[in-house]
Amino acid sequence: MINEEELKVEEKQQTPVEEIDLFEQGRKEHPEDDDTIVKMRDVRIAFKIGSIERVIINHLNLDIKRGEVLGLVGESGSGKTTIGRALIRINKVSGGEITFNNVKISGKIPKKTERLLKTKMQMIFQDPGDSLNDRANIDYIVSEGLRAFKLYKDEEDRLQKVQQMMQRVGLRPEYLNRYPHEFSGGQRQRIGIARCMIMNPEFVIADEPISALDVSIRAQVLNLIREFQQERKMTVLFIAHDLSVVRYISDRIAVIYAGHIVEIAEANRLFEAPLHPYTKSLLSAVPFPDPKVERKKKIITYNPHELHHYVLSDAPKLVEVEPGHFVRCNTPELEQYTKELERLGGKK
Amino acid sequence: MATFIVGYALIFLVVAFIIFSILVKKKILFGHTIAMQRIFANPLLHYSIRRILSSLISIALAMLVTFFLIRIAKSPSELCARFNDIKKPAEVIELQCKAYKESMGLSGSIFEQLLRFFYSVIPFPKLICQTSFDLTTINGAPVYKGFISDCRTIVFDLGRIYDLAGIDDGMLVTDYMISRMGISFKIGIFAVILELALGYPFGILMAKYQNGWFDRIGKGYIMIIDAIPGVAYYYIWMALLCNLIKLPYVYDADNVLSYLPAIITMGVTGASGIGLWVRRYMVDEFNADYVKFARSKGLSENRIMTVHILRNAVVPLVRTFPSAVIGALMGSYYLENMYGINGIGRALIIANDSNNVWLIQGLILFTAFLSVISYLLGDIVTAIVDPRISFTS
Amino acid sequence: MSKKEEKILEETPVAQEPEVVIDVQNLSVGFTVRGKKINVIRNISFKVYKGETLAIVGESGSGKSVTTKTFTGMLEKNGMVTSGSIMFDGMNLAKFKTDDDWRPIRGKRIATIFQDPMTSLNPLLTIGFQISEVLRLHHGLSKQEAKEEAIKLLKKVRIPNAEARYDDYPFQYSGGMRQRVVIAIALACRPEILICDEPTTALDVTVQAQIIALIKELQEEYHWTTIFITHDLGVVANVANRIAVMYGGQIVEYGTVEDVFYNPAHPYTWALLASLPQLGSKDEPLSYIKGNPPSFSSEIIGDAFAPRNAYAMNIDFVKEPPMFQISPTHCAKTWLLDPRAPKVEKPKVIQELHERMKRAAEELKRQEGAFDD
Repeated sequence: MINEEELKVEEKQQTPVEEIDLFEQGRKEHPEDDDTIVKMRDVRIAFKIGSIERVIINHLNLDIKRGEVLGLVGESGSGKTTIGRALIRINKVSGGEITFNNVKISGKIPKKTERLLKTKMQMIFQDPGDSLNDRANIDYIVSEGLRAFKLYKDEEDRLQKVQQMMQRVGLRPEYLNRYPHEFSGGQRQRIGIARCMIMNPEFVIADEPISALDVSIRAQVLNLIREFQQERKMTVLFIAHDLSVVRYISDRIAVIYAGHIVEIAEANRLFEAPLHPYTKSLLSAVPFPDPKVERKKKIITYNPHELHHYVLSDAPKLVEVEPGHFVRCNTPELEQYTKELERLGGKK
Repeated sequence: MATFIVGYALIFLVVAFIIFSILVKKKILFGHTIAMQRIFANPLLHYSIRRILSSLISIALAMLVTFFLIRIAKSPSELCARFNDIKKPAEVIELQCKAYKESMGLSGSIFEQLLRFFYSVIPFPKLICQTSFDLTTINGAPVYKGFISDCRTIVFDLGRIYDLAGIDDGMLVTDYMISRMGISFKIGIFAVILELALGYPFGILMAKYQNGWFDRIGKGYIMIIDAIPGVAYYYIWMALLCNLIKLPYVYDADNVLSYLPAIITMGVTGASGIGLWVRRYMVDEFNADYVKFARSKGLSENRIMTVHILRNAVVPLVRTFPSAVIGALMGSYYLENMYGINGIGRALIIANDSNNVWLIQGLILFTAFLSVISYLLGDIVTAIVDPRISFTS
Repeated sequence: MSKKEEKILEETPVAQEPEVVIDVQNLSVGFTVRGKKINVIRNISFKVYKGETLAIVGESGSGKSVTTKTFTGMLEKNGMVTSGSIMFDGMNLAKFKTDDDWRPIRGKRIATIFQDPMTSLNPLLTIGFQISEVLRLHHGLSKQEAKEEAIKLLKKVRIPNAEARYDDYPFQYSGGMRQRVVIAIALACRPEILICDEPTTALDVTVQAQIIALIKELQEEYHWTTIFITHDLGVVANVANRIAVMYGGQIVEYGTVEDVFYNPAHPYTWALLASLPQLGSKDEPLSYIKGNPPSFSSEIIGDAFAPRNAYAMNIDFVKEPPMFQISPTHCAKTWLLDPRAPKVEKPKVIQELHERMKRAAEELKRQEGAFDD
């Protein structure tokens, strides 16, 4: 009698995910918002060091559309990684709200929601060496998420899933018993991708996944992420400091400077008609692998103190200058950008 | 009287200084005077004030805990054994005992004693007198009458010593500790100097000729010191110094030669530890990128060694300087026992054996105070030599 | 050769051979790892020309850094030159042994900038001290003179407010600023040759662009020779005059920057170029190099690149290819250049490289001030 009851309890604990999927519910409840997967409203992120508070992000509004790859580009210290980490709840949000499938995921949320979120949102880290536990073998690393949420029927099923994933990222299943330090940087990043993708997430945050890699290996990792995204219709937030990389993989690109999004547009449009001077400087910094073109190119440096003369009465806002193309500007700048758009010609 | 005035003046000055500098820092006073801001709003100063205030609290807590722990472990029951005498009537013995306890500050309930303890430790000038009792009879009944003698104004009072085979009986714990500390420090400070003078070149040479013969011998020596129990090692040195070189076996305050065995033993032992750390930090620095860059700039190996590597390797070690010097005040039990030095290193054992509650308390308080100070000084010295550390959060 | 490519070659006339500053002949470098000898540089020969910039490009582990370390005697303790010569100003650097041998060369004549500016500077000494130290030592300036000169140099590398920043410590600077300071130190050496060992890899693109421009600008002023090491072919188009592509401890292609970008001959160079994301387009996956670079633990037979080479022939797995001279300035080490080899088409991306880049440049050209013409 007692034994049976115990068994029942155990079964209950083993149920992988709660029967009611909060996030599915959130999608159904707001069908009008269904094309937006992540919403950030008036988000503020600050770090406290002693009694001094450093505000990294303030008044951030950003929508990520379902199924898109959004490139988030900025220099180190711009807050791009902070945003990614806030989405996955590593960094605390001190103001505003973040929703995922119309369910609030910032600040205090129920344990259940947080647990469920972990199966839906995954992160790929910059340094493939640092982010993998060096004491654990590849099998353990890749199936960690599966184990934590019991997303498999039995041991055989788990092993099969892991082996399939290994093959999918181009690593031999024999490698499962090896340890991270036995692999090259590119291979380790593929292990990181396998660990992320095995959870079949809806939303992936790729935080500079290729910055630490040799150029020849970057392409491989980029292709892999893109393949997964297209195959599974995932949503990806791709964080980088290099526009050339982001153009290849993104549908839309958001440029961030000093905690503010200064320009968002469709990837190609951003390259055709960049308006914000910081975007232009980023574009001019991308090296062209062509000596003749490169020699003629001029590097535009961005100096916000000289360029912008913002006053409190006319504070800069993110304004839609053409459909889907937003620029941070004040009234005189908006005029100037509109003129520039006319000169550059409309959307093709 | 003079002590009273000086004592209160000092306390007033310290408190006023702290309040003043806090006001300057908050820019309530001299908010715009750069010179005043620089001196009194100095982050290092405020960091130190904060640290000292917070450590006062932890010292008070430590006092409280040790007070009760000692009361549980040691009851001064044997205190009156000295008055046991069959010739005396029992009531006289009782009276004598009571009077004695009173004079030692051990009368009253445990909370009364605690309050008295805190009162005497809190630093402000107070009059402390020795009370002796004499048996007289008033109206035929035996009565003990107290005679107050030897009155002094002191700031810290840690109680009195009793039962130390009579020699130091009735002495103030403060006086007792100061006199013994003096002896320990006289030897300890020379040992520290020797330790540093030997340890640094030892570590530097080991690092410079890494994996060479000197390094190997040095590492072997360090390993031996680590492996052999301290006492055994001390006796080896005793044999060496006193049997072979014929230095005096027994400490004699008037004979400087008799200081040497303890100084050398302590210094040479400490040097091995310092050498080990110097070597470790230097080897770490050897492989640093900036050393490679310094070499590629064309600097000579000697310059890289002295200007770049040594400097950087010493920075983490600077933290240990104050505690080494202050540690010299605490003496060494084994060495003081071996060479018959009347230092403070032996005091805790003596106090413990003789159930001297006040002395135990005093020593613990004193050790706690010294370690707080040496940590604080260590942090401050590190901040001075390492520009990366700032106290403005 | 297509018509377009011919035109490009015409446009850049080959100057008469400039003066050679470093002549490397048959250089081999070995390392002893756990008692085992491995050859990391395998018999390479190349020349560095005066006043030019030579870019050495390759993946990590290709031997590019090791090669230049032999120029300043900075090889790790377990490494040594096993054969060959490095001729510099009549001296054979390969024969140098002691630090005393190297002292007149290091810094004074050949200076190096390293990859990570965050760790290249001594964290406990001021910026000013670290620059003026070099000036006092190499040029015998007094303390005051050295300070004045150091401030001049800080201004040269565009550190704002240089006088005030003289007494700053490295931790107060960002990565880009530190790399500027490192460059200022290299400037203080007034070297004939400046080795830049991945100077921008750890930096953001915007900062990278500025640093590269700065190095180039200063070179024009000071007329030194630059050896620029990188894993990213994309960044050297602007700075390099000549490019040496390294793979598996060997130089597989060597030529002028035009040779290598517009007429690359080695399949490895093709693969390196084709994998640049700048050349990618949304409609097709980026091409990439399969597999891993060779490990030196076992002996390499044939062409080291063969296992990863889509164009590999049977002979590549058996026999090491010789260096084929394509033009007076251009040579490559691949059997594909042997007259007996079948003709192969280069990847489409490589053939279209200039067109694709010109198109990309058009976009940028529409922005004001982005181009000279």
